Amino acid sequence: MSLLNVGANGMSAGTFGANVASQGASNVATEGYTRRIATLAPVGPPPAGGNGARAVSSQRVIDTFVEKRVLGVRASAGEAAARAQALTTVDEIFGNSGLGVQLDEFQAAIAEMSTRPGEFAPRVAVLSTADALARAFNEASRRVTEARSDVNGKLIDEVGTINERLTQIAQLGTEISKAEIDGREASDLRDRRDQYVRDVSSQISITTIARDDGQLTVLLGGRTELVSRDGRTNLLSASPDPATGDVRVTAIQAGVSVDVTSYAAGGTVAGLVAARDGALTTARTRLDQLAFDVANAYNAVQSTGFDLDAGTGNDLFDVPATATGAAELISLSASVAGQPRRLAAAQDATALPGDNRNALALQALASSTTASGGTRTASDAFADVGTEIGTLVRTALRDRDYTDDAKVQIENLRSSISGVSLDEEMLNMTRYQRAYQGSLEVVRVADEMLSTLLALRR
Amino acid sequence: MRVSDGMVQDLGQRAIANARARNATATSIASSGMRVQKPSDDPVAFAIGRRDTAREQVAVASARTSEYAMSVSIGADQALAEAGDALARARELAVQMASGTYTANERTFAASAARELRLEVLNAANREVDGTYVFGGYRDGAPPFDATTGAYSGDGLVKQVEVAPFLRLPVSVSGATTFGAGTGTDVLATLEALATALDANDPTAVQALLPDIDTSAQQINGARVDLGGQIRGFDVTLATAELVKDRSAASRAQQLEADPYRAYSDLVEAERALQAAVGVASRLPFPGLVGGGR
Repeated sequence: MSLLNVGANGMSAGTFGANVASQGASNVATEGYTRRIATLAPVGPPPAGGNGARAVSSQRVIDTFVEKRVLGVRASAGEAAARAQALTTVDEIFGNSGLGVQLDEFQAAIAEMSTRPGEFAPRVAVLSTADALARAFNEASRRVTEARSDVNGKLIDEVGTINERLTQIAQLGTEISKAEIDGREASDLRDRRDQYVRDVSSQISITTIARDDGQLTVLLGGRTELVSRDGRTNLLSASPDPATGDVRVTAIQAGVSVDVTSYAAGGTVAGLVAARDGALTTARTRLDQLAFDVANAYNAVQSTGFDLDAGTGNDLFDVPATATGAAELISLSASVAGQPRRLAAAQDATALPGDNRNALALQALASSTTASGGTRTASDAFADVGTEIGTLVRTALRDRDYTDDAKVQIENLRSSISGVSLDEEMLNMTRYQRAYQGSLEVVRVADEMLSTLLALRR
Repeated sequence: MRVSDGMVQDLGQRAIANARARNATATSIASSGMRVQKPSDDPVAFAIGRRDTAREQVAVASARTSEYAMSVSIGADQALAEAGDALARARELAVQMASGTYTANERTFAASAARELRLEVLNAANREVDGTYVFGGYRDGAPPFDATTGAYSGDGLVKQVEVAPFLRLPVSVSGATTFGAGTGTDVLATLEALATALDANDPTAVQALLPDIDTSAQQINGARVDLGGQIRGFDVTLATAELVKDRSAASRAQQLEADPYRAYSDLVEAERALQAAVGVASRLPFPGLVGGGR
């Protein structure tokens, strides 16, 4: 009878092994699936020669050190990718069309007016190009604001997704804990939880501490518990700052809501915040300053000259009293809009309409250092802004490429350890199939032996 | 190193994605002809290109201003040439009529000729070029010399234009100085005096006017010398502006535009890389290219 048991146990173990191998093969395309190996052990002690083989467990093949590195690299890659994506639009604002061209055309129109101060057509051209320049500033400002608004909206979305995943991580931790206490297999649950952890790490930099009871503690910035060891979640909040309108991320710490935006050193959240508070803020500030400088420089000259009706004191642009919001609010002054005669080309009210001296002063502004604190011409200042923003965007794109390469490398390493190889699984299935066939042969031999024995009694 | 199926699939996916991105970039450059379309493509080249564009625009405006100023100065010079001719004829007339051999009738006839010459000079002094009275200074919206009295209503100044950054040059010459309105010899008054002396049949008075006629001619000729210098100056600034424009355009093109042969070559290379990536991916053991399996 013991021989039959040996065969039965062997068949059972072979079935188990084949099952594990086929599970791996069928999950070769399943996201987050970790390969498993069947662990078999001999049954029964000698002297009877043992009782065959038994299935002990199926073990997930993972390297915890690599898993932790995956989290860090995914955070870096998520940060760089989000930053690069958020800055793509601002880069285009400073492209080869738009603001720079309008600035050139405005200055060219003033040059034309200075040669023909009494003629109507050059004056109309100055007004229309000044209006176009103001609108180009408005459009550039609107696009920067829109980009910032997109970032703020994405931050809220990201935090919502993070919270969903944290909730899943906590729930799965509880389920894993229960299953393992009950002695049930929890590999699938662990795979799912690990996948959620990896996804969250792409969004916000987290660290994890695995507990013996199957629970997992998730920390933000190494100090704020997002998932605690008892499976409770401390969800993040994202809401606009009343003063700036910028979305801030908060969490509860010791019963108090704390701004944890800066804790996110990596992940999409960090990338979005870096783009918003870095290049997008720089772009807005520089645009505002340029619009403010240009408007005030031209206003100062225009308002002191005389127009064709000997009027004086009219500005060319309406602009706020401070640089803040100047690019958004700059417009052609209502005092000259639609009234080309109001352009002050003359310095002498008795020398109208031929006096072009104030127009020459306006023309000279194109070559004068009126921007960037009186150190750069308007054209140079615009080129400087473009270079500054372009460099920030280029850096972001390079960071994205580098971190993406690093991510591929570490995930390849992880895959080389935990990923499924169909070749291996097929070989394993063949191996367990052979083991099963061997055990079946044992049963057949046992059956023959029993039959022989029974025949002797007849 | 152990190789999982997921690694192989990811490799295929990534190769195709990279090849597609490279292909898109090469297509964009080849179709637009622009190597730098936005600052991040090459921040330094963008800045240089932007400055080149601005410099080119300034050069275009400078060239236009120089052309305009040159046409005004040439118009003024032509006017002064006509005035100079009239003064030369007036001098001949004065020399001739200062002789005692002419009768009163002949001098009366010569007086009307002198008035014609004054009118020619007046017309020259009130010359309008391209909508502006070139000897009016900044008050160039109306004829600067009164047709009857010859009184000057210009401001006596010389209008300037900016022909290059920080370089302003005069256009025309002072009507007051050239025609002696308030300073020097009054050309129109001299010619009127000549006509009056001829009407009065006074050869002595006619003789006495010869120095004034000569001074008037010198004033006109001196102004023409100034105008000649101006015209040469505008010629130089025009040529310089054209040169700056061409060089700025060339520099901008060098910074921002793509070399068409290289762009096409890159495109062909990128297309081949994409074909190769797709070809390799199609040989992968998985029929689908979806990821996972790690």
